[in-house]
Amino acid sequence: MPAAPVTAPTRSGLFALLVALLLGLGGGGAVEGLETDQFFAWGRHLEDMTEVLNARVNLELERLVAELNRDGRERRCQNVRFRFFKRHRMLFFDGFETWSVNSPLVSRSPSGPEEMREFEQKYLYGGTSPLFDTGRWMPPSPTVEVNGVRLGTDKLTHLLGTAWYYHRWYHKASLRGAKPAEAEDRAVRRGLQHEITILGRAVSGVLSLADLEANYEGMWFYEHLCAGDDPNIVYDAGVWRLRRPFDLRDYVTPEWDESYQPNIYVRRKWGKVRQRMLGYCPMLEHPQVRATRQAYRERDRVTETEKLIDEMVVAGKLPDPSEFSIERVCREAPD
Amino acid sequence: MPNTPFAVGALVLGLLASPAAAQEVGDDSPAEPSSGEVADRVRADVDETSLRWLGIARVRYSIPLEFSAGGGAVLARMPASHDCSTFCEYRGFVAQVEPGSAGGQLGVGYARVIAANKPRSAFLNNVYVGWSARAVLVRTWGDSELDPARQTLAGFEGQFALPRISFNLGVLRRISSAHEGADRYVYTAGIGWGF
Repeated sequence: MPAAPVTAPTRSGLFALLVALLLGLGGGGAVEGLETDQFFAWGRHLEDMTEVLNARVNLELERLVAELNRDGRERRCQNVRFRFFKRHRMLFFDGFETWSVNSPLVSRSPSGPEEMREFEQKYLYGGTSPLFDTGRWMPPSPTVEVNGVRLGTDKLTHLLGTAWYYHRWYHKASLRGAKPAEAEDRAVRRGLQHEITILGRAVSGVLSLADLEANYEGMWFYEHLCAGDDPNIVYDAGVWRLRRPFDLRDYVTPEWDESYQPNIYVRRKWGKVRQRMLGYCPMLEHPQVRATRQAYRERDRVTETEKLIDEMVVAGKLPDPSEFSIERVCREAPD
Repeated sequence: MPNTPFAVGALVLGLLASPAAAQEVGDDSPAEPSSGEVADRVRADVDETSLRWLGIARVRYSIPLEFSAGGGAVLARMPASHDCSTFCEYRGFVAQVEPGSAGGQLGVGYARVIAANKPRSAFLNNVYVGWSARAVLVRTWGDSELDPARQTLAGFEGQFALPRISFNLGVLRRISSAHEGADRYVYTAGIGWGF
């Protein structure tokens, strides 16, 4: 019979103290969804990465199709979806994001040692202690440009990783008889609760509406991966094939840019973030920033996520996101 | 130090022609490659890999080592072009030696860890999340609380690491001789920092 060694009371006490101390300093920080700062990329040239990122996702889809054909039989679509999700899922992180922050093919900001050093000084969430601010325990996601929209690489994790859970909730609700609109509503509300609690605001002090937008779009990516009128992958005459390549342009909207779609911050975080945002007020007149924001306004629409957030704001459950916009910050700035 | 095989030489030369880092507005941009070319470059970037070893370190309090400090390495196959200064996933062989106040441990096994290393550094400076499963050999000494205080044990240890914290659990079986009635198995547990 196995037996644990006898431990002296003093040593047990020391051990418990260490556990408490380290849990207090650490445990809760390991959550998925990294923070990102699109303000830092203002005025910096970025190549459009639509083709490159599409190619990366399509490579994985092609490999999924090859894998399915090696198995040589028809499978349920939900099983195919899960296999795709598993192919690029890592521990809390997503393979596409990991690739995009490392590949020399991806134009991103910050990039290179010099710009990384500058980023450390200017990072929007950098005004806090990296020891106690759980939002800083994970690495910040750099900014890339996709179809004219600047977004954090964390959105790839949301679109193709976190969204799997959204889709699962949607799928379960559908199986239980919910109509599509009702199933969608349940999934989106559950996702918002996750973002408010364990994945976002409660841990890092930031509720990212841009993350929610990417999660929502990803739910539809998974839904249409192998089902519906226009699926990406089909099983046809005994063979799996990639019928329609993945295209980020189908999903990315200006709301994915966190310098355009403001986050909602908790009070303890907002004071420090606001100070850093003030530094970007003069940049609102920069030609690249003006042109980008003008293009965003022309493409802007009211999204399902925005409708839900508006509902929460009216019900008094969330503050109005516009309170945290750069325009508001600069308008209210002391001269 | 990270290794770079000859196989990636051609890829690197090809990549030198492609714009990557953010540049100031106004720089001339080269002509865009076709979709097929982009797909080929992406495929090459994903598939060209190299073996790299990176140093790991941890400090912890555990049963039966008590206070200990470990040093070792992870050997993993990575995309050759990735510098991992933001973060990478390392999957592969891990080996670590860990002397402590009441014993020492040698462990070898498999690790999967998301971490970053500083440019030109051979150490995993920031471990964000990871786990490992190791076969371990332990020799206790000094004022170890095991009975007998000096014994040799072998077994398995699982480790899970998060930012700023790392846990481990395991089971050891005594392989050295001892007096009759001595415990044959020891459960191990520990908490600390690093990987």
